[in-house]
Amino acid sequence: MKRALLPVLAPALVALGLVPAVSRAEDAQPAAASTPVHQFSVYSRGGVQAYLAPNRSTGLFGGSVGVRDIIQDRFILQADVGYLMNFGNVVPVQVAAGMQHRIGFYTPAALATLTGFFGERLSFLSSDHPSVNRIPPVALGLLLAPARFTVEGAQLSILEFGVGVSPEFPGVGVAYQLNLIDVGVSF
Amino acid sequence: MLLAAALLGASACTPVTPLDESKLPVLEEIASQIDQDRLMGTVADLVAEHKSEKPFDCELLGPNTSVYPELCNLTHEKAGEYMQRRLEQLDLPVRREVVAKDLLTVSNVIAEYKGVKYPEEVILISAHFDVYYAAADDNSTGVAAVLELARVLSQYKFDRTLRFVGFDLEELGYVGSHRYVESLGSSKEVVLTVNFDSLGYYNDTPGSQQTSLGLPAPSEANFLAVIGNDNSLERVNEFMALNESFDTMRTFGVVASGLGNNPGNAPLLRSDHGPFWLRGHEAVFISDTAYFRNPGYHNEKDTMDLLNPPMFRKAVQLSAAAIAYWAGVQP
Repeated sequence: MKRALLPVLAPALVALGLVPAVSRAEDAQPAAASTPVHQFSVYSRGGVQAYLAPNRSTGLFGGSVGVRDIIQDRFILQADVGYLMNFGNVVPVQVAAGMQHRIGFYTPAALATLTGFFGERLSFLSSDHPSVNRIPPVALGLLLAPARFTVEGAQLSILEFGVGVSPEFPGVGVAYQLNLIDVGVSF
Repeated sequence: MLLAAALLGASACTPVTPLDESKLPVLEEIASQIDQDRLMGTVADLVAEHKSEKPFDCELLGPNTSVYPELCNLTHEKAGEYMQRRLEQLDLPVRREVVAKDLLTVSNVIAEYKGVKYPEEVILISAHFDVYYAAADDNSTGVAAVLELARVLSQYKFDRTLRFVGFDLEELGYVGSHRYVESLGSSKEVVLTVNFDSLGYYNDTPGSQQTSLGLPAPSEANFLAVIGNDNSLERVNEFMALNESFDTMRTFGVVASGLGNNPGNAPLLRSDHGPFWLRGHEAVFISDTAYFRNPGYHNEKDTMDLLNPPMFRKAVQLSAAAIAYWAGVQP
């Protein structure tokens, strides 16, 4: 995996400005013994994030920025805030905790997420839901990052998938997340 | 956080809007006067008027006519004259508001029934009278509803003024309503617009109602949609509450955030209430949801045999009660 992807991934990270060009040779070395306990990074992602329920729809297209802490090169804590549009102007706030598995610079990850959707929405009124629910939905879910790579503390992940649920009394709403790209840089 | 949100969510749905229950008996009486035979007779008249008219000169509209053949099957003049004639028969003052601008001249039909307590406050009741093909549902039903509402409501006294309006050239981009709203300027006299567009198509078959991403709806196309934005949220709530009181028909409310101009709300803007929303006016849109269910939408199959007269009547009955409530009907 590592040898096969390196020629593609390393130039991509360099092109994104995430890794200095001079360090490309070092990238071939796996992050190992010298890994700090806490590795903080800022990250940004873009894609689709929506909350769809029988009584309201919100979000859809947009992105987020956040802060991530990778602990002992294994555990991930992160929090981000963003902007979504389509079914109104929405600020999604997500906190997540999970794990990454390192195989060289290939670091797929899985995270449990808690996502709040704050702002505008499209509401649907029926006999089950006779009035507008103005409390922002908060969905508990799972986010998978199967194509995630880490080189020298810079992270690049493409096509992350997430799903979550939130109660709506009666029924549930489902939060969908498809991150086209997630890029993080350590500091 | 999830638990807190869940608990908050459980209590966040404010109770259904309370109604002034002293008005319910007179509202029920008004609703009972909506006549199904008159409604269907008017639809038949309008369909005949459209069929007898030479369609609009679509060459004015440029090359799009090959992509959208319905553009060459638009009629409006005779239906406008018919609407004017019927409103005059009710002894209401009627005028045509003609606005010639760019390539298109519109001629809206406007009739008024003065309120007795706040005559300067206007409830505008509208439907577009221009249609594609014979257009039984879209929008002869809407025009028939406005005419039947004018007949019934003009027998009562209201605090506010009722203004019955037929908008011209909705199908070409809400031209009549857009120019009407422009003419209002900064005036706040129109306190609420109730717009009807397609009221007569219903189907109990599961799956007969189409939806789109983020716009859920019941599976059966047997409900009436009442659509508002944040400005008109209370009116949507009241409409739903009146239906609960009278148990008239299945209704489904939709409320768009803000003015309703977000991209995902585009299907909700597709009638003459749209220009009112975008100018910050209160407006509700009452519809069978047209192209989300009617196979005759904007084609030659939009004929009377697709209509469901009893359900159409119920939609107008519920609307009559709501308008009378909003206008402040006097006992």
